[in-house]
Amino acid sequence: MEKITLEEMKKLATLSALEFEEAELEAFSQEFQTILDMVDEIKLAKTENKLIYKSHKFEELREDVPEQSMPQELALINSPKTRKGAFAVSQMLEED
Amino acid sequence: MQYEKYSLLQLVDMIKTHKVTSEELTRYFVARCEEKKEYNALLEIFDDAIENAKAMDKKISEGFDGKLAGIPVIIKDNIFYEGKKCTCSSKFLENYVAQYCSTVVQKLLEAGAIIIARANMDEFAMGSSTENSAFGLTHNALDFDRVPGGSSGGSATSVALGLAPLALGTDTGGSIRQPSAYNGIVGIKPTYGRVSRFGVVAFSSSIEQVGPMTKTVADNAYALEVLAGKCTHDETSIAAPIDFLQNIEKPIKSIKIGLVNEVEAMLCGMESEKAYKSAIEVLKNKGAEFVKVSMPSFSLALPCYYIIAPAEATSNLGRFDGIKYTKRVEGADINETYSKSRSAGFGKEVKRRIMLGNFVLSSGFFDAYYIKAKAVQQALIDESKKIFSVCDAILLPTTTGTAFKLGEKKDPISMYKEDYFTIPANMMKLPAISVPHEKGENGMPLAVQIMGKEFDEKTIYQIAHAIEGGVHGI
Amino acid sequence: MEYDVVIGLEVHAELKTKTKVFCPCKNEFGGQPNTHCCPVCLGLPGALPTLNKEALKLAIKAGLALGCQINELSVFERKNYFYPDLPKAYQISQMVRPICLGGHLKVGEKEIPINRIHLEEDAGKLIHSSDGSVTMIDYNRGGVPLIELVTEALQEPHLESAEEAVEFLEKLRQVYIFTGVADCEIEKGQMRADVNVSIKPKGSSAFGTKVEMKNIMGFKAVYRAINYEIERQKNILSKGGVIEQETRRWDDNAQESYTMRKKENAQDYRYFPDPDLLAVEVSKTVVDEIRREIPMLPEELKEKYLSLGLSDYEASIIVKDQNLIDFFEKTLKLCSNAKAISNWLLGEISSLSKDDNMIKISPDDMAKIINLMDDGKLNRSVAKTIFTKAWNENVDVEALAKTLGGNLSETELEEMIVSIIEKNPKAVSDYQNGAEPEKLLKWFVGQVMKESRGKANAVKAEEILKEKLK
Repeated sequence: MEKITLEEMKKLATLSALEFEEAELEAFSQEFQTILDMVDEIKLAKTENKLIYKSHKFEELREDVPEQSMPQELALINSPKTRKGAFAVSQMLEED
Repeated sequence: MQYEKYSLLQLVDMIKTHKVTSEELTRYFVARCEEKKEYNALLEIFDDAIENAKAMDKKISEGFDGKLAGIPVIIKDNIFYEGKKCTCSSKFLENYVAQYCSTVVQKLLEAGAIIIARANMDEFAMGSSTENSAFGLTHNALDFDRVPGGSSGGSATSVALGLAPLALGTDTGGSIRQPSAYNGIVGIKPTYGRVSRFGVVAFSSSIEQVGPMTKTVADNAYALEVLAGKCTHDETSIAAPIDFLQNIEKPIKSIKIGLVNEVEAMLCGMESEKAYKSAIEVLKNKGAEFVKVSMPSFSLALPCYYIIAPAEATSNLGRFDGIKYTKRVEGADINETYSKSRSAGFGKEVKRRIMLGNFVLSSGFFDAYYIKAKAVQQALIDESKKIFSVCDAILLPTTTGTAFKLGEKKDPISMYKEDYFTIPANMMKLPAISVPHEKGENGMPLAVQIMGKEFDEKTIYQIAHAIEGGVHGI
Repeated sequence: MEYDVVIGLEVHAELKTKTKVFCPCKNEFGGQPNTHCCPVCLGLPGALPTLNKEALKLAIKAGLALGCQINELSVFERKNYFYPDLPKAYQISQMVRPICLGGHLKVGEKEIPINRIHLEEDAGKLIHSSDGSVTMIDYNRGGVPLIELVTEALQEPHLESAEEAVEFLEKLRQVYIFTGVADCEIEKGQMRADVNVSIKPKGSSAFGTKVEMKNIMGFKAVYRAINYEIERQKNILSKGGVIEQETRRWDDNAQESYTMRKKENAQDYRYFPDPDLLAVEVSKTVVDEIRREIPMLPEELKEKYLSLGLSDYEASIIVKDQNLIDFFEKTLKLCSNAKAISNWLLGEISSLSKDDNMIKISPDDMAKIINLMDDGKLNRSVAKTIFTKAWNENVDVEALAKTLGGNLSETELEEMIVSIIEKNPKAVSDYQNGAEPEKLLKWFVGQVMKESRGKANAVKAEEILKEKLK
């Protein structure tokens, strides 16, 4: 494995929705490198590289029968911020 | 009465024959939990335990005879018990209250168990020493200066200290078996699909299982009979005969046990070699036959695990974002709210694995890492199938040696290698049990591991029972 | 400079199931916020998805109606990204092995190719508080089953104009409604389209840069957004500029679009198979069973009606209205005179049901009336009387036909005609040698009707008269 750059680490942090101080990230990337060197071992294995899926039959799927939902209060019980029966965030967001 | 000296099966019998009430037992064990607080094995002792025990006594007097009627049980803190906190030993979930019951807790309660406490663990089950808990480390039950192992360290220490006759753990790469070995108790990682994962906070969904941790092999088999079964909430759970106690007393004569060449080469000179060799002697004397087998990919299980588990963990832990639950740290925009909340909430090891998971899943690396790891996993499964065509079970060490000292392993790699012998069973989805056997020169317990065919827990319980010396723990 | 326009569509439709796609919560529009939710659709820790059989079945049905291949092994993947309407920070969707592949939909004379249809879960709804201080999140819609259809824009023929794109959407909507897969109520957001547009110099084989517009609500908005985008791109190119690959949002109020995401900020969704869900095997038997449940599509029905002798105009009107189709089909099972059914349906029935859209005569009675007329047992005026009675009350059509007449049998009619001919030798010879036989024939028919007091079938009488008067 080539050396992972600080830039790449920053991109990973963004993907992970995590923030790091620059120094913290540098220390982190060194550890990261040793881990990647360790896992790189698998690249030597001779394997047929395709995914095998565990499956079940259509007939075994869940039937379309409604069950009781949760009470609203219970749904919201752990939320740090709620408004009128909904979870709330302070930003004005558009549908993605 | 010193109830901690009794096995689970003995206590079940004592309740059944009215030699003791659930209230008496529960009061006793709750008091013992309080007494042993310095080990930090538990995060919370439930204040309704005694009340529940009283109610259970009434039910028992009315004829209720569930398999665990009135028995105090401790659960790892990543298993949901409705209305109780569940933190996964993370600051992020410090005040999280479970909004529903996991299937395993539901089954415990239906069997009449009294859940008395939740046990400490490595944060989100990521670790092998229970030093990664946001709420302080747990001590080994047998040596206060040593780690209990992990991630189910709190559960293992609890059983070994006699805080309850049964604790539940979860095992993603050895998290039940390694701490069981370090504390001299019995722990099983059942076949993948044996036990429902519904209501268990997910770390690596495709390989982890809940399993019982007990003082004896028979206790363990008995407890797994309560937990096992196909669950309508978990598509990956599978229906298979629940027959764990069926052969447990049967002689192991002519059972064929595989010894893996690659493992023996690795084990040479390690502390655990003693237990491994001695177990072979014990089993040989009892009439078992041994077959030399080869598993060329055995050493690849560890790197394979450190690709698949972080990949799944990254995705599983995305939901902890400060919006619906967990602590929120407000940022200027929504993305900042996410990253501030998550950075404040997760500990270092969890962050490391999230980053690693994103690395192996990200475009450009996915095929070389994730797909490759899945292919290696398939190779391992194929090798195990071949081996099981010539033998009934495989003998392995559980760990490289006895429990290490607190703070001894500082770099992640040496900690990751702790699970060298346990990870293969997870990757191959096979059942594996750790049973204490022999002691190291430091007097700490050693253990061996028996890995079985898919859904053949029955046979590994039988072999483990043959190795077992008696009741373990203090 | 002239340009070719290439339009691709990604169309989401909410499936008409009783429960959500991965949990047994009700799939129901509206309700108090977060009241149709459970651990699964709230994305609570430890919750696990279980696939709804009906959702997969409807996805297969949609695929079959559009001529898709059904994947015999279908896989669900996680699409990972953070957004508050996505409670797990991943959407369960299908990437590598979607349930349906290929297929096509006819727009004008073009068979527009379809790339795939896959099954996935809908996101929650974001609502702005009235004071503008917070965004509220309601997960009632979270986990509602969606099918996403993706057109194959890189193949010929493709959609080339806003008109064609809208026609595609309208036809697709008709197919979904017709097969009972989805209600597609636009105002409820049950059908939503993402549109991508690229333009290239006329005749050029290289494709232009694709610009995507997300979540456009309503077909008129799609029309306007596409035309706006075509103009925007033409403008840039004509000034020597380059089109940037990006995602834009169409603001239908302002009638313009603006940049949402540039290509360099494109998301890396890190798809991988969802370890909580098993892949699904769909056997040929299952596919065949589902295929049998699919009613004929409007286009196919129209072909059938034309072949039964209906005019293009008649066939077109009937296939547009499910009520008319149902009545027509049911009546057709009891009576083979398609043209007559169509005449009644588009005549008397349409005018009587104009206000309340209710057809108050049973296909059974309608068929009886037509059959009695065809057998010559009922003439048109009596038939109308019976029809009106049957419309307003419960009647026995056959008994009524007997009392009201029109039940003169062919033999009776023949006897009557013979006797009339015998009584009128002058008229007979006038007819046979005469200057105006047509006029005399009418006179004879009149005599028959008079004598039978309207109980004879005039057409039949004319036929017999012609024969006897030779």
